[in-house]
Amino acid sequence: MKGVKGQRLMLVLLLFPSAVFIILFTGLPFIFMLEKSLVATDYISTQFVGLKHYFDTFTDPDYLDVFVSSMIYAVTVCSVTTIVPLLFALLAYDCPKWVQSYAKFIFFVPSFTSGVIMTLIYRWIFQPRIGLITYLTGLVGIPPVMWMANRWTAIGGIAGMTISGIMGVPLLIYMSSILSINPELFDVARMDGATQFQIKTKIVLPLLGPSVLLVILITMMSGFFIMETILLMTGGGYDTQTFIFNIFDQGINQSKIGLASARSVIMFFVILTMVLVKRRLEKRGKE
Amino acid sequence: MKKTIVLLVVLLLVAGFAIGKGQAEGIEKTKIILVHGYADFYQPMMDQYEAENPQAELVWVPKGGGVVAVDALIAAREKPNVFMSTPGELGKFLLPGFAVELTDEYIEDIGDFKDGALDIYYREGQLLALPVLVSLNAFDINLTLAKEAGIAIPAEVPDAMTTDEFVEFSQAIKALGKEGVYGTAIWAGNRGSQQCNWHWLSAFGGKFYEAGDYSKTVLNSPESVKGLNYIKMLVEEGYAPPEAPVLDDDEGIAFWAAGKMGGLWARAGGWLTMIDNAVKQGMIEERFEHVFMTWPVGPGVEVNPLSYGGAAGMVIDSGDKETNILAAKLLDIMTGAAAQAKTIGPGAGYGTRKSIPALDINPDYDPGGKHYWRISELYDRAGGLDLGYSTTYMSAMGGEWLSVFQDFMTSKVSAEEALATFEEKFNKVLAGE
Repeated sequence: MKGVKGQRLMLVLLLFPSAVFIILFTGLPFIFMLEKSLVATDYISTQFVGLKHYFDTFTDPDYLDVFVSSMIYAVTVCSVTTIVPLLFALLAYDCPKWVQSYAKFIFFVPSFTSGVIMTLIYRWIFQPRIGLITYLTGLVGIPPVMWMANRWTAIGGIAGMTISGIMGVPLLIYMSSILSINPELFDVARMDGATQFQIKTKIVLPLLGPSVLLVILITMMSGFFIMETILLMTGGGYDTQTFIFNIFDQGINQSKIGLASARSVIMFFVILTMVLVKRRLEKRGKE
Repeated sequence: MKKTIVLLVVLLLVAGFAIGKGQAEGIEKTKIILVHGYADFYQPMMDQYEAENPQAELVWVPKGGGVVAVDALIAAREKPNVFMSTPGELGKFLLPGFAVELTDEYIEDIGDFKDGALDIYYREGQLLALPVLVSLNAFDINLTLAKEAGIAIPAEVPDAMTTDEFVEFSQAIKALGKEGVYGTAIWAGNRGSQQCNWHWLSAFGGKFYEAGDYSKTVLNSPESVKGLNYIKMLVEEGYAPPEAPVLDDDEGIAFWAAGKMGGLWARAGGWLTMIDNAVKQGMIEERFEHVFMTWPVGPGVEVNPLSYGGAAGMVIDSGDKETNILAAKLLDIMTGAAAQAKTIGPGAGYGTRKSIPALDINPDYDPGGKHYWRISELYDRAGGLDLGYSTTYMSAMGGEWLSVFQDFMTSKVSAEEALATFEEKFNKVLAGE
């Protein structure tokens, strides 16, 4: 009993610094945000408006565009950055070490580059008159296209940039998860006559389930949080805004603190729902 | 041993005295919080203020983007005392009762400001801010390109071309057949420098506001429709880069510096070094000759005002008169003649005080301040484009405009529809909805 008490005390002591940090920098701001979402304020004058900002948000047709765009970013970024690194990890984990290291390096290189610098490079790639894509498509007689002046191509391009920037993280998660699988499982499977393909699909892939769910959650959130790329590529125009860009736009550019806070609360609940779904799926997987 | 003890006692006494003195000073000092974003420029003025006002403890908070720093300080119940920024960012805070009215009691030499320089800082008859400088942008004509295209600009350069003359000018430049060279540039890729595009609406008589009434916009007018359609024509006829819907202001200005624009929105001062940079990077062999005019004017329009910006400062009411007076002393130094003289010439700004010392315009890029003074003369004759620059919702305007302008430039909506949408949306913003 004494041992358990000691362990609990140790647990509390170890968690205390993190808990203080979370309460101060996440918990309290969240409470302030809830309060601000119920008022109309520019910080100079404040008026209680109840749920008006929530009502305005759900009846604002522009916000529907933001919602749709955010979901498209999230689904696109999530599906590509979940599946491609997964396939690559499955292909590469039994390759020689140097191949694995090289693959990780290639996937991770864009993560080392500043997002702003990457975006400027992509601006040139997508530039319709002197850009790389125009040059390449011009070789086969396709006329220049203003990629960033069309909602769908702009969202595709911005999602592509985001994908290239974060692809390395899922690969690392998958690779380290595969390394943690007991190698005896593979030996037993081989003794039973399983092919390498069967080992990958019947043993490795199912055991990667929790990692896949984690990657899905992280990458979907990355889709919601695209910010500086949109600012530099479209200025937030052509219906390319994400939840987070719209919050920035309303709160900072237009000084609508209350409305921006309400939209932050809505985004919180969207993400919370995703987390709860992930937990439910994990639980079901264990059962 | 005795010596050591005596030495230690002396050291303790000195340390105690120093600590005590520091505490005493800490108690007496009044904290003055200053928010601005130009550390290098304002540092000498801050040093001067601290030296002249030992009773003040000056705390500088970097401004960062927008007015977030000021908002955050107010939210934290730590209102700043002095805020220096663009008039557009100051606008939100220029409220009687929130900002200190700058009477003679606070600022000794208000009469030193030039006529009209303070006009946009009055609210309900109260002066609530002071300008540091005004920056002016005009329409810069590339004379080298014009000569190459066979267009003679008279030695006595007129103040402006007509919109028809500008079409002829652009046609001649297009006829040169030089890749990437255009009459001008239009950009809808970002919010930056949209004044450049608004000038074309102004060219036909389009206005943002009617005679100082900032409660609603009057941009939705037949004149503005003509302006928007003129813009579209410039792009469609190949007088401006075809990628206008995605081009941003930085790219457009880079094209100007590289000598690829017949005429574009530009300013004197440090901007002219961009031309030298283009030479250094091998984009052009040598500097091109150029001259500033006001923006072209359409039929029946006499003048197209210059777009202007600048920097200004205000004192936020602390609730304590003595503290406000101490803060106003800081504003007085920050907007003083000596401070203005340091930045106006090289930085393309124009002083707002009568007593500014002689200018030191960099002879390397603007010998004799030829361009600088030309723009000043143009401003004296044409005035400034009234965009409600120091009003509360100036910063919100760019966002509302960009989306309708993009829709128009990609032919999703007509000029009439774009202007009607803008009017509806922006008037809601102006009404605080």
